Amino acid sequence: MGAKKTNIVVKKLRDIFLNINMLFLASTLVLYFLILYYAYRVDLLLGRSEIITGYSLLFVILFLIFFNVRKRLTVLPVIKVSHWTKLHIVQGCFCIILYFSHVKTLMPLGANEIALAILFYLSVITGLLGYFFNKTIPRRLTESNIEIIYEKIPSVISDVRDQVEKIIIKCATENNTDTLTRHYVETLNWFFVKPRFLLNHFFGGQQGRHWVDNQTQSIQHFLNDSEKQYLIEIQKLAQYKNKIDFHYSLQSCSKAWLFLHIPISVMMLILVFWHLLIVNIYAI
Amino acid sequence: MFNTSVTMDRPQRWDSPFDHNMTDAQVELLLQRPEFNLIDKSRFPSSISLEGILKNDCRINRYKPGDIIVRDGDYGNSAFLLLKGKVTVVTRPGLPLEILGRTRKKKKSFWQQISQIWKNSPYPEARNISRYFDKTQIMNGLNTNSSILNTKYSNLIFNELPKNIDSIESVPKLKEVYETVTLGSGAIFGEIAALSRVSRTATIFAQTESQVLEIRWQGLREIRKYDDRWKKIIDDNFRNNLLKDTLLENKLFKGFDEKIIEKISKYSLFETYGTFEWHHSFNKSNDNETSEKDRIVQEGHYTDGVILIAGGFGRVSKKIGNGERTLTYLRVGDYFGLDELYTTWKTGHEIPLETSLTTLGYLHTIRVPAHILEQYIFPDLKIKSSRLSDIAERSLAEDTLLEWAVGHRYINGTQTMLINLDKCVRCDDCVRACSDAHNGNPRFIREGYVHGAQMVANSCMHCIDPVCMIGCPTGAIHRNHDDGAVVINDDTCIGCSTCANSCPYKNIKMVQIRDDNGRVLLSSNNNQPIMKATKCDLCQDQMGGPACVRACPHDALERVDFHNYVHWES
Repeated sequence: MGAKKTNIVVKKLRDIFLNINMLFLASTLVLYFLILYYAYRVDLLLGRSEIITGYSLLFVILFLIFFNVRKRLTVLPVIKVSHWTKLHIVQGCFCIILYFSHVKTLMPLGANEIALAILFYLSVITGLLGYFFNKTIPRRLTESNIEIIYEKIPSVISDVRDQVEKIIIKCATENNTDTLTRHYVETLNWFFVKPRFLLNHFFGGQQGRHWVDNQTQSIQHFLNDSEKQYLIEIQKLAQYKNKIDFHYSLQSCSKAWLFLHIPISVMMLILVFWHLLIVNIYAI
Repeated sequence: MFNTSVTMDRPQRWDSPFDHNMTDAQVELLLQRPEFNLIDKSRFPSSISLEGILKNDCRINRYKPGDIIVRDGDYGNSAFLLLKGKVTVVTRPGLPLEILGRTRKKKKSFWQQISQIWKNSPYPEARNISRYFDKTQIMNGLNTNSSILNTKYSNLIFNELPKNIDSIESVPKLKEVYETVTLGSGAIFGEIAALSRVSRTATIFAQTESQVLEIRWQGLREIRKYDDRWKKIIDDNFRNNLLKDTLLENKLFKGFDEKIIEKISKYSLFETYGTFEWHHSFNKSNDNETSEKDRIVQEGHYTDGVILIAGGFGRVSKKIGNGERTLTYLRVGDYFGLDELYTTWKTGHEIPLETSLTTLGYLHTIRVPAHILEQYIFPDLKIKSSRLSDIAERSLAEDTLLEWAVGHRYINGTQTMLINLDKCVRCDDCVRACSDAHNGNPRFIREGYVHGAQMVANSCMHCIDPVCMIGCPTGAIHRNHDDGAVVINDDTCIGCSTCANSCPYKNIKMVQIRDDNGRVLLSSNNNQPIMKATKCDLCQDQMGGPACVRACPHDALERVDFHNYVHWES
């Protein structure tokens, strides 16, 4: 029994330390240590360590940008994209150290350098934001207990709306009253037209659910028993639609951050080359 | 007062005969043959008469010289009785894949793989259709019996092909490298594959003009049950060809002398439970519950032998509250009832079964009698018997994944696409990668049943029991010998939809074919679009394995053997 437990502990330790993440982390640490140590030695010898850190930073940024190219080359039989992702995250975080060892200040002087610094910071912030989204959004989506493909959301909402309208018409025909129909046209229709309460959904609020409950309760005492049954059906569909809105909100965010991160990074790269050109012409 | 019910005749076993065109005269002629003439008809119950079996569970097929009757590697539910003519069995080596309507995809080079990015067609399901036209006979569905004579690869197996293959009376001799056996009238073949759901082990083609009685497994099972002669033929064939190997491979008998295994095989009984066509009822009802008729042995009863699983799946369950709790499921190589028998032998007190065994679809078993085990096995039993009932100590919540996997029959999958939704950012890079690897056409949908955070996506699972392969008229859908993947040869698929309709998981899609310019390909017979079956092929022609797995940025997608996965999770 004791030996079995020891085996499990050994296996767990092995899983923790002997995996690809640790390999990437360790190799990055070694690489950065060597670069920074060399830069430090150059500084000690009154050399220009900015050249070493600057070119290292350039290569790291190129490597980071290449990740997007690799992702588009889906059939490229070179290293799984998940490994690239891990490397991208590790290198992305460590390049902040390299950046400060190169710039040696929070905000450099000169319009070009300031623009470059701002783009670098924005790129890092959007990257970290994306990492945060990637780590939190999937779990939140799973917990909604429905699964829906983003591109299908408009058609699913349209289907839900059709179902609700059929129920409304059936209710009006059967009961010869227009109470529910009127409520739908005046109020509920707004909810079923397109995704609603997106910001609230993103921050984990329950505004959508609350709104649906409110709007269905407010009409209850005008309805007879038969109409109430139809209202229950509509309420169920509304809650389902509320979950779709939740998916729409979160899935939009998990895609949208890339529309910030990638253009900012590309702009930064352009300025990096401009910076490289200027430095090589005037400074070195 | 409304009438709230409608009436119909109670469905009967032979409501759907194997062949509607089978006539009483044909049955009469069959009954005069020695194979059926000697059968004691009185032993058959009146509801399952021999005449009924011949009329409803059999059909007569006619083959021209060279027509393939059975393909090596195919799965099928029928046995065959040669009525007239001669057939040839190619024992070894097997015929080339191309002759059997199959293909082995070559891996693309690095450059070819990269160039897919810009070479992929902008049109859905576009193909180079020129390769179809030398097989117009197959494309138009005029002849679904493939022949070894009229393929463009026939010269691979013959020294010299006759010029006019339509008028030949007997197939010329194959090249010397092929070992063959010729069977004459009265020969029975294909019965082992039909009853035990193993793949066919040889290709058989018509040597001369032949008439063959095809008997579907239900009929064969009844004839074997009520006629000792047929039973002996089938059982002897099974014992000689399959049983000894099955026993030798079973972990229970590991390390035992081959002579002992031979003795065990002599006394063992093989039985089939459930229905091979489980996918039909599963498709209709998606019924996860086990009915009484599926039960093989019940908890609390006594057993007279150990049940070895030789095919299919069995559910081991224990009664809990008002339902049955699935403790585990058994598949080929597993056994049931050992603990109780061993304890009985050891203590001298008869122990009843602590769990029940039911079929999940069908179950092919070998029953090794208790007295044989006591005599030869128990005294030297080396394996530590694991009590299935002990699994019941686990909490009910721990086994929800197992219940779910068994209920949905995901246990059948060897390469199931499992997506961890807690990691998946829904970016669809997997779908894009699949599409890029298949000329712009994704071969799966990122949708499916979800359990907890695990989704089984609608992608071919490359099943242990590939029901999709049963009934393919051209052998286009087949199992790849190298890695066990179930793949479709686009060139020989005739678009009959048999595989797509059979797949219980709806993972095969029928698609309209277009040429390179995006024009829909129509049949010259009726102007209907030419359809082909498509599914995940595990990226057979791509370096590095399935593109979906390689493209996932968060390691959320994996291909798993559900057996390992469920047990690891448990």
